[in-house]
Amino acid sequence: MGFGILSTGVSGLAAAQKGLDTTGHNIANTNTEGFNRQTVEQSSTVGIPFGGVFLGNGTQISSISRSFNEFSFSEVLYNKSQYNLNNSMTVNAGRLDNFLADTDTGITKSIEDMFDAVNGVTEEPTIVSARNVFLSTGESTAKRFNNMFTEVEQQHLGNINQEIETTVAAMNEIGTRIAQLNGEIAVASSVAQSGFPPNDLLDKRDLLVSQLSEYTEVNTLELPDGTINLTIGSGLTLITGTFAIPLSVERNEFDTSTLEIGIAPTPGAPNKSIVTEQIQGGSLGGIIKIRDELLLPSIRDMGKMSIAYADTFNRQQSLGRDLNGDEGTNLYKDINDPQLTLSRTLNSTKNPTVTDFSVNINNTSLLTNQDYSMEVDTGGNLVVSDQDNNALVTFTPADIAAMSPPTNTRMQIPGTGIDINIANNNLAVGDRFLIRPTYTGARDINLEIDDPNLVAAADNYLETATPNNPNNVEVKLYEIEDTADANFPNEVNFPPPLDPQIQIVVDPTGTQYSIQNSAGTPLTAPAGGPFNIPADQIIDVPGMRLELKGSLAGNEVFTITNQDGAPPFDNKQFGQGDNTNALTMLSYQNSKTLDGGTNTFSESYAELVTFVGVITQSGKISADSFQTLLTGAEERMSAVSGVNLDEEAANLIRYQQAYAASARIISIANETFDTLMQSVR
Amino acid sequence: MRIGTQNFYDRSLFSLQTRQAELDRAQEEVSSGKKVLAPSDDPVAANSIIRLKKELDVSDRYIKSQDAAQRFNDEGEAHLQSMTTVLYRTQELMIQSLNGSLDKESLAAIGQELQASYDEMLALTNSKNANGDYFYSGYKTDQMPFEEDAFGYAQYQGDDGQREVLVAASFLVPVTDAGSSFISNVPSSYGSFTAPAAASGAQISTGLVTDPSEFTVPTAPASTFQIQFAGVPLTWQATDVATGTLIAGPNDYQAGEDLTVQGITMKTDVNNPPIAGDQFDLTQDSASAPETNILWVIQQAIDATKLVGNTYTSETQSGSTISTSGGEVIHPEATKVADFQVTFPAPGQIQIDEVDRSTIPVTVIANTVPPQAYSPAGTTIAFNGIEMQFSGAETVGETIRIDRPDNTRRAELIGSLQVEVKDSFTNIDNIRTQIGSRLNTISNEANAIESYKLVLANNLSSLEDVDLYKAMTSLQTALTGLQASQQSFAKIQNLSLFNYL
Repeated sequence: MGFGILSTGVSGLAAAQKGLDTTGHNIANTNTEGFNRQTVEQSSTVGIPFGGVFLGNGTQISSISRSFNEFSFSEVLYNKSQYNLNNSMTVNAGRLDNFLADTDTGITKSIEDMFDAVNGVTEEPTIVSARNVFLSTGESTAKRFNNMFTEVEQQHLGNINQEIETTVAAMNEIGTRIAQLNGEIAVASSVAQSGFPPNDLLDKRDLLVSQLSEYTEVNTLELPDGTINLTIGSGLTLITGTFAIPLSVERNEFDTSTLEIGIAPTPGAPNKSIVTEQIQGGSLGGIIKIRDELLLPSIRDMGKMSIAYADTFNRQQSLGRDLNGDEGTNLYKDINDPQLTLSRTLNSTKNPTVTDFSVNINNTSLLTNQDYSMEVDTGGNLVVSDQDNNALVTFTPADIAAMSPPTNTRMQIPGTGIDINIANNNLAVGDRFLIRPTYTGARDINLEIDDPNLVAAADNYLETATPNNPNNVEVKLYEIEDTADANFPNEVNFPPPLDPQIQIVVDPTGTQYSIQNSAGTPLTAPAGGPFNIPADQIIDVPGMRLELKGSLAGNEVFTITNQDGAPPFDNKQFGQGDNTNALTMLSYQNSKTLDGGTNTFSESYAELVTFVGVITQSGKISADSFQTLLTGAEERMSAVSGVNLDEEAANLIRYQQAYAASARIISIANETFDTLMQSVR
Repeated sequence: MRIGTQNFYDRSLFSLQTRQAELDRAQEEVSSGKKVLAPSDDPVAANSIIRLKKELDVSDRYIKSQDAAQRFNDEGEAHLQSMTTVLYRTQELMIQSLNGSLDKESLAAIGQELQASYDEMLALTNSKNANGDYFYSGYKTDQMPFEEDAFGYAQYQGDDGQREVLVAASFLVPVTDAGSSFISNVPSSYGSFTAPAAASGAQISTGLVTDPSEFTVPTAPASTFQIQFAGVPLTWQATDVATGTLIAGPNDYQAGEDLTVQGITMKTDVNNPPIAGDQFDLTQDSASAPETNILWVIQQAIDATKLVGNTYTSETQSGSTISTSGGEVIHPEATKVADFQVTFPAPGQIQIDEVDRSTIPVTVIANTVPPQAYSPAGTTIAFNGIEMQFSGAETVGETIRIDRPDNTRRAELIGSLQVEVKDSFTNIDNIRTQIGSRLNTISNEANAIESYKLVLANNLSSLEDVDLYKAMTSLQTALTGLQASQQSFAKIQNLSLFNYL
């Protein structure tokens, strides 16, 4: 019947029309980002039985689907987040890399100039101009350290903090839109016939997911109703259904200028849990990684260098005499200035009350670029651990009582070069603290001498001798702290017939020492000892510190005599032309005073530069390789989903011909009907 | 396989950007001449570059230090050369003064010339450098090294410090020499003697030997000669503390007079003379290794030129009523040089013994004139080829000294001073040799540093510098690559089926 042919022709027309529409849609969206080309699937209609004969009935559109490969898409997401991770690491590390290496902004030139200035003083200790050069170079070195700290801490860290905030805001924005789309897709999927998914909504959502993966690595899980659940890191849900849980920017519990990423554990909860470690991949993961693994350690490294440098010069000044014949004073601000020692420990914001610790740096050669954490455990012990959570020392409640006022005993933290006591004790179980010995070092260094006569080029007046020294242990003065100490060797504290001398006697085991006068009488308690010899063998004696280099056999006797008095103790009277102390200062350029005695100043700085350089270089290499991988993945995805204009042009022709042919069917059907009508008149 | 149109364009664009970045990098390398522009370009090389640059800086500094060290040592050496010249002149003059036939005026003239040498030597030891620092006072560069004390004796005021300068790694070279290391440490058989000030505040000068034949050190363990002043009019005497023996005096004392004990002469201050009750404990300085000072040696030579006379001299004790005269050598062939002592063993008896005064107590060598009659009106005695007259009332137990002629004493003194001058030459020569070897070392180090710098610069260049030819080639390649990308893109971007529909 004509009815059959007509409807068949109409179905053909409709199908061709849909095909043309879809092709036109593809062509129009050829440059749309995230667009997956759509294809029309036709299927024939079931035939109508007509007198025992099945006649075909035309065609229908079974589906309009988008060409989308799930696996290609995941590959693209992964590589994109890895590429962005490495790229943001490279950019931020590169900034620090260039900064450190530049001779104008870097520190090596200043330190070399400083030793040149010391050399000038050794050549001409009596002329003021050499000393003035020394002081002005010292000041510019300190300012160089200050500038480096300001630049890195304010500029670089400030940039990172800003970037964290804007990235989190952008991520939350994207999350909200994805959640919205989830809702729309769920509605659209439920009302659409099967085979006709809401392709463009899906494309939009996939594009948003892809944008989100630039910021961090994401995983998606598709649910039957068409919505997706989005998780980041190790299973942290950001989006479920139409609900987007926003990330927030929180302050670190110890250092309020460090930002952390937080998320509400349950929707609407006020206290956020900190999830910074879970942010992997993407540019957010990159900047957090660079901040924690590169910038903060670099600041601490620079602090370590500046503290060791200031301390070395300060100690050597104390071991000399200036142009007026007086004991040398500090060249730079004391590294254990009370203000500084109290500022090195941070309380957690969760501690109910604040406890103040005073952290002394007593051996700069042992300093590291690490922070140390402290916690009060359930037993009331104070446990000090390093960054890898290895416990370094546990202070019992008895130790804590000794460290607190009024005794304020200083306790060493082994292997770190620092010792602590408690300025005011408000410890409670669960309190946590962070010790940052070197973080502000580069900011705090400051020149304190402006009078060139105060540069201590001449030797001090103390003479060390080793009456009993079987192992040839070297005895060196480490620092002169207090010449006013009641037991400092001089004629006032040890009047004749005693010599102006103190004797240090090591016990038979080589682990303790006591102090006596030249007649062999121990000093009045507690100054006479016995005291324990610490692991770094730098011992405290009245008004001074001594370094013992070598292994002690036991029963050694060392003497320190004041040789600037009345004869016969006048071997070391002051002379202006004496440059011995300045020569010792000069020797520090090549002596390994840092990093546990393994590095000189410039070697330690070179290590830092190499460290930054390696991270930058490996970031560059990784970024390049992931760029290549990403390009490949995008190519593969585009091979499936991308619009090819030539193909669409061919499709246009195809559907146009099909449309023309189907239109012809209709006109044939019309003519057939006319012929039939004509024949029955 | 399919190619998405957008992806196709994206890839072409990416490739263009890559080429452009390569071109940019090549251009940067060519224009800066360096292939390590940031540490990340080659972190390991960056580490070495930092260390090499530091080594170069340090090497430059060593070169400057070497110049300074050389300058200081050259200046020091020039002065030492002048000192040697002065000493030569002094030696000549001293030899001249040995001539026994010189009279007082000639000797005085030699004495004046010696004084000129002394002044010149004093000025040389006190020379300053361009900064106004004294060369030879050790570390006390603001302190004049040799200052004359109240008695005109130059005393060393500096210390023993020797300044050093770093001229190479762990290599310190001295640049100064303390006066105590060559001027005031001339080895001497006699050395010098000092005594602390007396209770009244009066001081006596450093004691230097003027008569070697009488010299002996004080007896141990006290090792002290004690000079006591007593009485009105003021007299002085000296005893050897350990044995209690009287070794000199009692002699009358006039303010400002010299005191001579065992051949050692001390000057006294006419403005602050010792008074009755003053005691001086005289000990030898650095008794284990006696030393003298070049300036003292010249000073002693000057004092020696005042010893003129070819007659035997005599000295009576304080309160003696004996007067003596004569002492000329009558029979030169019968004379031997000796010292004598006149005693009065019994009233009316006089005895002369030849003595050796260099022992404590005095040793009698021979009894030249046995006890013979003595008349207070005047007795002439001939002995040892000389003739002396004695008159006046004798006191039993008193002694009169008879000393050899001053010419002889002068000869003996100059003889011992010549040994000390020779040792002074040696001292100064030692220092000159040391300076010479320092200068040698410095120039060796200078050469070594230059070679070292060359090696460092080469290493630095191999790490840091780009091979210009390689870089130019890379630049050209990158340029060509970019051009090819651009042209090929232009060619294919036109192709589309739509152009043919």
